[in-house]
Amino acid sequence: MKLSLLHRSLSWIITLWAVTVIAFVVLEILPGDPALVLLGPDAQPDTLAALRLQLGLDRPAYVRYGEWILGLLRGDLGISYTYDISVRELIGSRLKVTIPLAVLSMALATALALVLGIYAASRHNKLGDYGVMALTQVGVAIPSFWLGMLLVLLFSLTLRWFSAGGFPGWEAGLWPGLKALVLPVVALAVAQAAVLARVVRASLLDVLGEDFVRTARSKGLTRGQALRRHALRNALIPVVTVIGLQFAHMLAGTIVIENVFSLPGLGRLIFQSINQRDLMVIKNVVVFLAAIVITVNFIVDLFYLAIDPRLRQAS
Amino acid sequence: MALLEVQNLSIRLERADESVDLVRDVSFSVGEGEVVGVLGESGCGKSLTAFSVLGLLPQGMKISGRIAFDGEDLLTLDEKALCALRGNRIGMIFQEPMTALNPVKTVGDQIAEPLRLHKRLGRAAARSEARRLLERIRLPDPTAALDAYPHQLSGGQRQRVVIAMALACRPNLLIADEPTTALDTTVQRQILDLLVDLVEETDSGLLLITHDIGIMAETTDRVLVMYGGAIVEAAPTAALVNSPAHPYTRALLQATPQRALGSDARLEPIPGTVPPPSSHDVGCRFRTRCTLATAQCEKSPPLRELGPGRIAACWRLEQGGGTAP
Repeated sequence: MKLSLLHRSLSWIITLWAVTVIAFVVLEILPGDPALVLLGPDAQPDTLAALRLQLGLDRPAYVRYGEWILGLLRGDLGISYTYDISVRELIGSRLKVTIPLAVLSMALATALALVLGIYAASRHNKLGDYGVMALTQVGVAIPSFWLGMLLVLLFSLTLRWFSAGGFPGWEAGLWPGLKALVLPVVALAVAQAAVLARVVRASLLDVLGEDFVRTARSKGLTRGQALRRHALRNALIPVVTVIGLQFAHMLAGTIVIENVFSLPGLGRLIFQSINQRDLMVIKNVVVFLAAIVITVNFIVDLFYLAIDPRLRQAS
Repeated sequence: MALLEVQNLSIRLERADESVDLVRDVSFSVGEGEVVGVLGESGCGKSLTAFSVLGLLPQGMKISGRIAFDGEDLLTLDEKALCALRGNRIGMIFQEPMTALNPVKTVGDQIAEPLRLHKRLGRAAARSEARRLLERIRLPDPTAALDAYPHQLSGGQRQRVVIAMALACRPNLLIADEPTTALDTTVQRQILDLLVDLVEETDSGLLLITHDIGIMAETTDRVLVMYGGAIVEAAPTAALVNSPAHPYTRALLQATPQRALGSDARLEPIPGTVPPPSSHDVGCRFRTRCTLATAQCEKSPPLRELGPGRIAACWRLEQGGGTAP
């Protein structure tokens, strides 16, 4: 266990380092001169040159990479060209929207998926099962941005229960903040819940056919008791894997959803920064998102160990 | 009245295009403290017969006949009443100790489960009873084993745990489906001895399903021989081994390494394989592999009484088919 923690921490560091290299190289190759974007197409050549000098764009790439990494290690992420505040502050303020959005969506998706998946598995090949499967098929097929728009149409424009977009900030209070997140959370969660529900169902059906479930039944457990007490925990292993993968997907989904609902989150920040060639912001946000995804995978590994005693011994 | 009385049990698999009789018209009984063996090759309906007693047949199977346990017809009981019997008054031991235990639960929890469920024991009481059971099945270091997970035990130890689980509530009837097949021969011996000791201790009936004649000869009081979903011969064990009546029983005996039976005759394999149930037709099912088969065998032979407690279904028992009666 100790060895495996060390092993995993090392791989965490190496993966993150690889991400910094990729982010930096890609942005170097990306066409578009940040100085030109900042000053507009009519800028004078000497003003451009001066700005490039100020931004440090005249120096060789490896020097700029080295400076960036040293800054990262110190926690200094540089200054945004466009917002003119420290990138660290910028990310911090945006996370207050994106983290609740992603975590709430994942929680909702997981809860829905467990309920639907368990129900479908316990009604295998009966009407309830077919109903859930049809429902999830639709859920998978709906793109989240379109669902977002439909939700706005119904709940904001027609019923006027929620606002169509924007975020009042947590300073306005917990409830107004949460209320602004309801529709985006639902829009993001539905597709994930649909995928996950199918995984829960398939995994449960798999486990329900195992010998130890029959053993449990031979001990006098009802079908439901055998499912809850014996099958479910075994079935969770693939489910947790998919949740980990979906979380990464969910973070990517926030880019679209935050734009649909005009939420000032990390996704919207990265979208705008790419438009404005704000390299400092892009590369730091990319590394930051990668760090979150790797960390989530790390947590998934810990979940495996908690669920399956066989892995505890193997590591 | 016997502890378990099965009468005219038939199990039919109904599918959209066809339905197949998997078990046909099987009758037998198991008395208190009696060890009854069910012998036959794979696919002859032994395990299905066992599962039907517990009411745990796979979906899509239709069952008819009568299964009386302690005078009560199990086929008329509802699921709740069956759950109250399973693991409580009827225990079951499975073939594969590697997969019969839940890999993510501790051995102690799994043994304590039927005790908590049926005997309403509290956590601590169930745990100490589980510890006592582990001692009784002679597991080294029972206290440590309580908190062990199945993968930390050997195959033999796991099967002991399965036995402890089945015996936890002191059932009147124990059904063991090939309990030693998956184990090393050296361990088989120990497990069987343990099983027989425990059954004697508690005076419960044991229905022992096996395809191993050596095991059968050493442990059982009576034997049912099944072929193609039906009983072809039933006899007290000694009589069956010494003078098998049905050609199939004799073929099985001749296909067994003789050392186990204490003679040195030649080992004779049975030609052919068990026909799949869908190809079952009228007539004796063994006739395609039987050296004595004649045109008469196209008709189904009835079970005939050959002596006290002895029956067999064969047209040619008198023509050298049987050394009995």
